[in-house]
Amino acid sequence: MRGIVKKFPTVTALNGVDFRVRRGEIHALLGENGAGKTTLMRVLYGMYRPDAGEIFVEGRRVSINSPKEALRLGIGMVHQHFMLVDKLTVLENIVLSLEGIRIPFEEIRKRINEFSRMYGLKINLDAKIWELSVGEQQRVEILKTLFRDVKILILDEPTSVLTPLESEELFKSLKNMVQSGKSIILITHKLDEALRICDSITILRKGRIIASEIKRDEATKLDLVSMMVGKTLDFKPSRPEKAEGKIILEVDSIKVLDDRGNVAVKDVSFVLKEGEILGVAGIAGNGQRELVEALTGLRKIEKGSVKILGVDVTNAPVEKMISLGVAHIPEDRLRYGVALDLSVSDNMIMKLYQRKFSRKVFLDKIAVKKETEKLIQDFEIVTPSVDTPVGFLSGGNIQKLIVARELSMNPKILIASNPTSGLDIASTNYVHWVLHRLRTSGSSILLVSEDLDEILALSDRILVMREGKMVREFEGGASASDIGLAMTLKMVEPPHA
Amino acid sequence: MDIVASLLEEAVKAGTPLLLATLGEVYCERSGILNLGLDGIMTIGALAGFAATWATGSVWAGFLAAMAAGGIFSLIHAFTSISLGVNQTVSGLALTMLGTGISSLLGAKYVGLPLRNRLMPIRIPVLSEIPVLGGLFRHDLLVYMSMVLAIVLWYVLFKTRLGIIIRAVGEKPEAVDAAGVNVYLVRYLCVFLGGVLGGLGGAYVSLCYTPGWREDIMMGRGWIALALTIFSLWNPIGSLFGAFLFGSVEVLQFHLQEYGVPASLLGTLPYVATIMVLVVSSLGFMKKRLGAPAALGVPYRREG
Amino acid sequence: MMHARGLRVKLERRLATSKTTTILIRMLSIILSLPLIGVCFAFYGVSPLDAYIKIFSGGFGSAHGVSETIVKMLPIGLCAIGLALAYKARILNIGAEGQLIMGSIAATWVALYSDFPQNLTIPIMFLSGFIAGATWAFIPALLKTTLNVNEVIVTLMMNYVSLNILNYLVTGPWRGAAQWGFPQTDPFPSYARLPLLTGTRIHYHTLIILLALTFLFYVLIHSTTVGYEIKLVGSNPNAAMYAGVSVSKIILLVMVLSGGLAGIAGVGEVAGVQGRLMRGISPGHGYTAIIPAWLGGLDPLATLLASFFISGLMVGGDRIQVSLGLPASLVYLFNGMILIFFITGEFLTKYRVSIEMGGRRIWI
Repeated sequence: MRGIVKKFPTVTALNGVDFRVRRGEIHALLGENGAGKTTLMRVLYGMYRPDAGEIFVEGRRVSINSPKEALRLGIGMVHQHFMLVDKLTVLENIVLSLEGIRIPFEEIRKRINEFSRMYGLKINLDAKIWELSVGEQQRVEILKTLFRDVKILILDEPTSVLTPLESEELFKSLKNMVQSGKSIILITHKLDEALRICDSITILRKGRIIASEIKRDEATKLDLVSMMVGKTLDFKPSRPEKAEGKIILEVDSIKVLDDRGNVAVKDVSFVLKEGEILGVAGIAGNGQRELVEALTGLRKIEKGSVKILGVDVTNAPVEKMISLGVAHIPEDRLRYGVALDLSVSDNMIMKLYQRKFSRKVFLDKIAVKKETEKLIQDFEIVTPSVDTPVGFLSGGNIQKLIVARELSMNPKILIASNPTSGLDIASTNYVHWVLHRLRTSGSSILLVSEDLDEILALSDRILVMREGKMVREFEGGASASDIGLAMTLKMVEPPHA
Repeated sequence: MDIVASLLEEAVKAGTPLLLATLGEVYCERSGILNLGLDGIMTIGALAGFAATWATGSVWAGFLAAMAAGGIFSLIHAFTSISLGVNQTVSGLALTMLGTGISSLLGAKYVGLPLRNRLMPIRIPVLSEIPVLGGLFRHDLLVYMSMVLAIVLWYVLFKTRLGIIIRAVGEKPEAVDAAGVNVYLVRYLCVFLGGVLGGLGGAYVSLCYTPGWREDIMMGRGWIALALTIFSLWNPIGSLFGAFLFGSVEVLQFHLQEYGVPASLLGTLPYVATIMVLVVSSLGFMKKRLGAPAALGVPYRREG
Repeated sequence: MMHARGLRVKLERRLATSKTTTILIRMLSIILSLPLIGVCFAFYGVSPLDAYIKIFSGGFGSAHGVSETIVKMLPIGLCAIGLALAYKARILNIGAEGQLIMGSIAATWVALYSDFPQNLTIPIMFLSGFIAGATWAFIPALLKTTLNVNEVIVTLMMNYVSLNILNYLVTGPWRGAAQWGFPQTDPFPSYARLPLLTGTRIHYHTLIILLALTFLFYVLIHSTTVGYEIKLVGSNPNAAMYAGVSVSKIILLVMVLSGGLAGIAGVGEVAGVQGRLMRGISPGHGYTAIIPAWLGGLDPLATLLASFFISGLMVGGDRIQVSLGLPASLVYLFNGMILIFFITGEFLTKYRVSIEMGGRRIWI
């Protein structure tokens, strides 16, 4: 792939990327969240059309306009989110992905069993997908691509859903495939994985190639991490002396499940002190979302406890959390944070409509309007009027509205989850400034973010979350590389000098 | 014994229009589209069938006309639900109202007209002489065809790639889209099939069951067919047995009226049973095995 | 995206629409449906203009016409107001018909088979009608909040269950003394009959209730916290959860209210119009009410207006049935067509169509 450029409305995902894979190798595409790895591979797989650049397969220049064409060229992809139908069997799912009307079921069975043996991908063809473990489901996805005789197999973060044992089995299968002449591209953020099984590593950061085709024995882990993570932002506000503030929030050994019933937060404990910003760094998918939802009352805490100023609020209803002064800037702002059809003022009072803006059962519409107008001014939210449906506002202004609303609660604790994702520079800086100001006024902030620069710029203390646990704690001035290491490695010992 | 025999025979006949309409709706819902306009489609089919038979003198022309009318009519719902992604409940209800209205408007001149050509029953040799069960083998061609159709549709739905595609579209259209199949086309075809079979079921009523045409000829059969779709757990074989069951209820109701037994209460059975089936299939552990198609009623829009 | 020889039509999702655009599109869609219905008339050999004039004058053109329209508007409007509330929370209650029937059954029981003091009969009828309708709606609501069972199907099925219960009662235990073989109960005693406005068939108690409730619901939606919560649940249930609203409570509330209102409508029909319970106590009022509930944009005042309008059409439709020999189910045709155009118009409020041809692009 040469000079690939891909632009989206809000961001340039790929900025002139060159990428090369050789036959018979396992090639890791390494990088942080948002580096552009998935985007690049989606271009290769025909799901995205590049704005510029060329693709050559086996020396021939090709144009890939759809996954179908990619498959015909021998390129297959196993996505992070499986495209499997739960109620159908394995065999049926594989048949679904084939072409043609007349399907010889018996032949398919035979071929799949062959693949199973060749590559060590054991599977029960007649089991329904919902009965399978995640690892087994992934095998089905892989088998689907193998069936199409792919020569280049792309795997997007395959081990993020697997247990260590399943990862081992996957690696064995991959090695088998490579031995028979296939090439594998492994999108991952896990450094040790890349070093273990990959022959070659390319590092992507913010849409550019930082280093390409590094051979396994050529670089040390530290080199790689610093390449992945890069330098920190220059915005580093001066911090007052770290005061020993009292403990506002106390989380003790909590366990939270994800939507599928698997454990997302294994055993997390930490404290949040008054007047501090506690950053939680980590690659997405390590339990942060479930943690935030548990702490805000949107998800059940299975074990452990959460206390605010000594009051036990484990599994308290959302209403109670709000009344105790817990504000929440949600990660998925369109899904949870606003009601698009309703007006700006309707959205502005979402948290306080009961407490502040109502007398008995009646809404004090005048007060609502006044407050909304004030907040629009204070936070410089661009909107034609207070009655405009929120859906008309730009993404940045919607986020400003959410921030304004949460802050107008005068919260004791603000839990902010990826508060600047998808925002332009101006809005991002604005949100950072607001958070900083909030902290100075004495509130506490739990900042959960995939953006390491953001964490480093704002946090007094930093926790690193990985695979459902807090694996390390850092002071505010820690180096990005140290944190990056903690995020990507399994080992917990401090790095050697 | 004779009573039982004749009851069975009538039950099969009563169940046939239900079966046809249900089979169509099963495919429709399996692909993810809820079509509440079934009653309207059946009514239009009944009228179209009668009108065509009256004009041409051929019952089969009537059936064909009914199928065409039902299919075309259902395309309206297909368009609003699939291409426009509008709320399927409201669209379906509108369709039923339209169907009832159009057919009563256009059918006024056919009220009370006798049907000269009818579909004659075929007696299958030997089998039709069996006591009691023999009644099953003395029906007209369409009854047998509908039973065969149920089996064929079951086979296609569960044993062929086409069936896999249809079921997948109703469960997780993104997966089918990713596999390169046109989700919209599949849904259009299934809705169309639902219309075709619904129209045919309606025509059976006006041409064979209670020959003739009048405004309320369907007597809510379309809604029973909707209930039957759920009751049969979206499985054509289930529809086959369920249609027979629901048909028996209809027949029993009719006969019991003479004896003063609360026939109407009997009539609540299909509906109550359907609600119970729906509830059970919504329970957590049942949902994955027997539940409704996951994407039923949800318009599909490709992301990005 | 669709291509056709240099013409590109693209659909873009609107995140929200302004009020003016919404109203414009709605009006347009209703107006556009009229010519199409006219075509149906023409097909039948009737001049569309003639038919329309007769329909409108029938429903609105005379004092008698208007009074008949109001009589029809009472049950339709009551159901519609209630349904509009449920739809605002995006709960698709299709069961107004059944809830109405249960209300009329309850009122019949009070009128004919209970022992309440005579002067309390009317208020007790209304109360029992409300409770009956509310209970009938509570069942599907509970199923939805506990098991997430689709309320559309359950309410629909329950309509037919209630219909059968009605049939059972009027042909069985409640069958009145020989009434030409037509299944119905005995007539209600006079103290159980709703008084009428002189010279009309308007049972004014129900009218007062309808107007009062319209006003109440208007205040509820626009000025109370509960109304706010209903709006929030309807717009984004996830955001409602996030804001601490009990989504289940809201669902139960709107269903109970809409069912109760339909029940009251049933009381009006049986105690005000018919004076007895019979088969066909409701010729589909509960279904017809869905249209003004949707047409009215889920705003009580607009819903009331739309109910008046639809009722007028129905009265007019009855008239031309006689004078032009057209079948009665004509009204269903109107309803269906208006609704189809309406929802297509709804589509335009959700999506923006951009048409690009030869380098130039226009938006709708």
